[in-house]
Amino acid sequence: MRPVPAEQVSDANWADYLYFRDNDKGPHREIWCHSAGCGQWFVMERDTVTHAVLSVRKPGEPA
Amino acid sequence: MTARRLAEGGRIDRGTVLPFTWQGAKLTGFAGDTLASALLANGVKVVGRSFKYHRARGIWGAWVEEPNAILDVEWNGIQDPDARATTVELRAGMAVRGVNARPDVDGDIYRGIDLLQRFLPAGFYYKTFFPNWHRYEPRIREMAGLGRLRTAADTRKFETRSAQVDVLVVGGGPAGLAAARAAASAGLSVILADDRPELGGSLLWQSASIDGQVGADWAAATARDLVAAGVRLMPRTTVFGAYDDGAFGLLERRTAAADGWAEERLWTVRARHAVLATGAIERPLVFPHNDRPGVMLASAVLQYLLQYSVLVADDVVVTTNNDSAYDVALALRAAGAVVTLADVRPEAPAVARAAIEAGVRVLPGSIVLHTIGRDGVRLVDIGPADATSARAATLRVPASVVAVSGGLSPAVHLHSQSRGKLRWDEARAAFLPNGAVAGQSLVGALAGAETLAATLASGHQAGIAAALALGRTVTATAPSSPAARRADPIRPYWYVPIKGARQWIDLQNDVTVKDIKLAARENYASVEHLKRYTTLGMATDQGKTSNVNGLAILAEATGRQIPQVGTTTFRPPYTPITFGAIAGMRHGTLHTPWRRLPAHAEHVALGADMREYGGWWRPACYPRADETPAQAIQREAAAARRSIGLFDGSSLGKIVVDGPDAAAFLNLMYYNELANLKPGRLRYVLLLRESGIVYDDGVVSRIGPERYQLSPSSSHTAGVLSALEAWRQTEYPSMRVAFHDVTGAWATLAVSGPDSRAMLASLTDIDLRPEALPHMAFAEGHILGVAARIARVSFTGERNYEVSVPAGYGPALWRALMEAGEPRDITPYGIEALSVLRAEKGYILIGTDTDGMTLPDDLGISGPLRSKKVDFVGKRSLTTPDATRTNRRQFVGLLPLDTTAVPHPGAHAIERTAGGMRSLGWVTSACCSPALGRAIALGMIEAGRARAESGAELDLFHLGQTLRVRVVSPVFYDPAGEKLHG
Repeated sequence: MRPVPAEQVSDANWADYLYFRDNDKGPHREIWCHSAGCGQWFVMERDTVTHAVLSVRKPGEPA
Repeated sequence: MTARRLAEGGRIDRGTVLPFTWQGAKLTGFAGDTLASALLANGVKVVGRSFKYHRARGIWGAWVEEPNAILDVEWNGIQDPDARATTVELRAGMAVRGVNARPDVDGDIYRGIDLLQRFLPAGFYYKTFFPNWHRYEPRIREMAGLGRLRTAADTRKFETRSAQVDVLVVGGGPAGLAAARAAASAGLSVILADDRPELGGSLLWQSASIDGQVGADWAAATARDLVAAGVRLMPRTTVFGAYDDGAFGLLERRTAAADGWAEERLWTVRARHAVLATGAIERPLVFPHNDRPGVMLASAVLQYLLQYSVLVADDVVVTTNNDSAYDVALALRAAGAVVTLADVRPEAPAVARAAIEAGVRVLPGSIVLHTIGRDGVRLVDIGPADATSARAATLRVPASVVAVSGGLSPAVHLHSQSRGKLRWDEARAAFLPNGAVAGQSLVGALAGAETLAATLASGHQAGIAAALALGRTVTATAPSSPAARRADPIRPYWYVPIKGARQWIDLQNDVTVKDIKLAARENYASVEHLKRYTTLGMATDQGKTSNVNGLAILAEATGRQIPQVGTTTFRPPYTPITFGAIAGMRHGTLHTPWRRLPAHAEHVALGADMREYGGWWRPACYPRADETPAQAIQREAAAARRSIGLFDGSSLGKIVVDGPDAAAFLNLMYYNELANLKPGRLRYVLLLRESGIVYDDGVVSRIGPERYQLSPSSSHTAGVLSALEAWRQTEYPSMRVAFHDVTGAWATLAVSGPDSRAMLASLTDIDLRPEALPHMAFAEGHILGVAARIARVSFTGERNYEVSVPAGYGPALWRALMEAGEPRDITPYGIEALSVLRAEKGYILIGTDTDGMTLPDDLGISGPLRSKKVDFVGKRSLTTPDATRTNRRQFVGLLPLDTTAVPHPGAHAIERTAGGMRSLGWVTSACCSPALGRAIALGMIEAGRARAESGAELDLFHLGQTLRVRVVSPVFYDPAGEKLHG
């Protein structure tokens, strides 16, 4: 989620949002786009070790 | 004492003789031969020179595990510079040469390198070639490398295909055939892939009895049954990689495009279940001078004898640590060879009896201590297996071949690529899979089966398991084979403990036991470090017969157990695959779809120099017969300012943004304020990334209250559309707005120059008077009877009208405008002239004048940051410390003091310091300006605007030359913009 409003976001928070990601070993939430098909963006939870897909849902859809 | 073809036997077709040449000499083989078996049958001993030491090497194996016989093969216009002779099917007319040798493998001028071997251990290149290795580089490059590449284009055809199947069976030996048979009987869809031309695997060269038939016959009959049952058989197909979600990569080799037109097919097969029946690969015993031509894998000797009817020698020494080599000894005896067998096990095993009875001289507790012979084994010294000196040899035997057998390594590659684990089996002295990966079954020798009966049973079981997993029932009964006697245990034996002896581990990369011990001494104790430091296992055979021996020695050298050392990571492909197969048909004209302007033919007819810009073919310029492109560009740019220039801008992006929330959404996306843009007006805007970096610039038109049209740059249209969708879907899904890319629906021609309005006014019903259509406004109407929109917006700095009509009318409109403008000296101009015109005006080109660090204020565009009230992408990034520091590079103009010297884009502006030079920025664009009659440049310079204000001068430095320039405003021509308005 985008930190807003801009005036209340500290430099550190903004840098964190822009550049820092947790590099999880195991279940990991990612945003993907079906670019070669319908163009749908979706949230995928994927295991970075086994590559198993754990869940798929539209952005904003509750888990 | 050389190899020879026997009078009868084998699975070759003696009725079909195939002529070929080896290093220019004419030889023949038979259909069914591999290149290796044919060379052996002709008595060829030396086929190559080793990679580092240039030692003579002979054929060693019989299939993909071969490390030595890498040859240059040319046939039917196809050339393979590094073909593995043991897997090449012999064809009539093949021209074969050695590689890594000059002039040929027999008289290699580099053979003397072996005399320097003491100075060339593993990693020697990290410790030599000082102080400047570039001095040695040309010589090294000349000598290094295997094979030579031809420069003629590869005319082979490659296809890519995909398939989905219930069961993929990898391997067509007894286990794979049994599994496919069972699965097919359950009604499952099955693909059976095997890398050999004929199915049967080891049944083709080992005597066996299955269901009362000879093994090879059972294989052929089963193959026929499988086809009848609808199984897709894929011989000559290597399953080279296992990927996520049951996907496998297969390379199908088609002989001379026998059926269909592709020489190779790359398959992606998605299988619900996979049965891995990949078998096991024999590894050698290691002893001094075990790399001489004539030393061969025992199982290979057997294959050459029984499958290709080639007897490798009449005098053979077999050395082994396990029972399997006794079959080889017996078969050699039956063919009439004299056979001596050295078994490292202290007690002769039970199978030795039959061998002794057949006349094999069996020596328990022994191993080969030395081989003697120049360019080939001639004599073999045999001695105790625990000998610590070569002098401990007790027997010297004349022999031309040493058949070595050190145990079997299951081919676990696909299992490991699927992240399957391995375990070290002490009793078998092998790495076995430690449990199958979900969705896979492991059968046969891969799973450690030691008899044919066990192999068949495991294959059949896997078929049942696959059927069960997919809800079906197997109806076939398991094939049966007579029970076999239990083998005596293998004795792990890694190398002869003689100090100083040269014993090869990796033949293809010339890695010896000494190298492994050196690596251990220098603390490369991890198996991954061992691999990279010594290059063990890094050649095209990928260590198939050397990895296990190597890591076992590393374990001993570092005081660990083999399981603690482990193996290196297995990665696809299992055997090399051609780039052509990966590319498939995506090369040449089919590599990228090129887009053409609607009026493409018109430009070509005018003699335009068409070039590719961002995926579009566009006119760079329109040179006349008597001028160079550079002259054409200057002429076109001058004409556009003097009278009328005509430019095809149809490739510029056009994205319609539609919906009740269009204004609010675009305000979020863009740097500039867009909600207050009135219908009928245009605004120049910047699109930023969240990091504040300028991603694209362009123009936005307000069509109506809920409709805008965006004009991104040609090469960024897809990216902008993608960004809009991403933001809407992921962050603002409640906003009611939709996007349509209508770039291809319109042809847009730009009419530029002082006479532009006069000419257009006569062609259109749109009111072009300045009060009706001021600069940065558009209107709709008709031109020459066709619906059109005319926007008054300029990238040239002259009065400019962009006329847009439905794309189909593009060519006709171009012709009509050219005709109407003829009396007014209308001149078509291309991208290069446009680039000059915009440079004279200081208009930026994204990606040329901007880069991945440019912020809006660097370009001098800071209004929106101060005045725009609402949030937008990138806003927060414009107030960070880095965004607000005073020494940022800024967009400025640069005037060389020498008016004829055009600076080089990329040249740095420098400040001389005590230590040398410091860069203050660089030139981004430069050209000769026809309007100013001199050279001009644009650049990003530290504190550029302050320098421009004070008229500062700077040095530009490029390739050792210095050019002095004055920093100025980037707007060289008509700074007040008088030409644009009115």
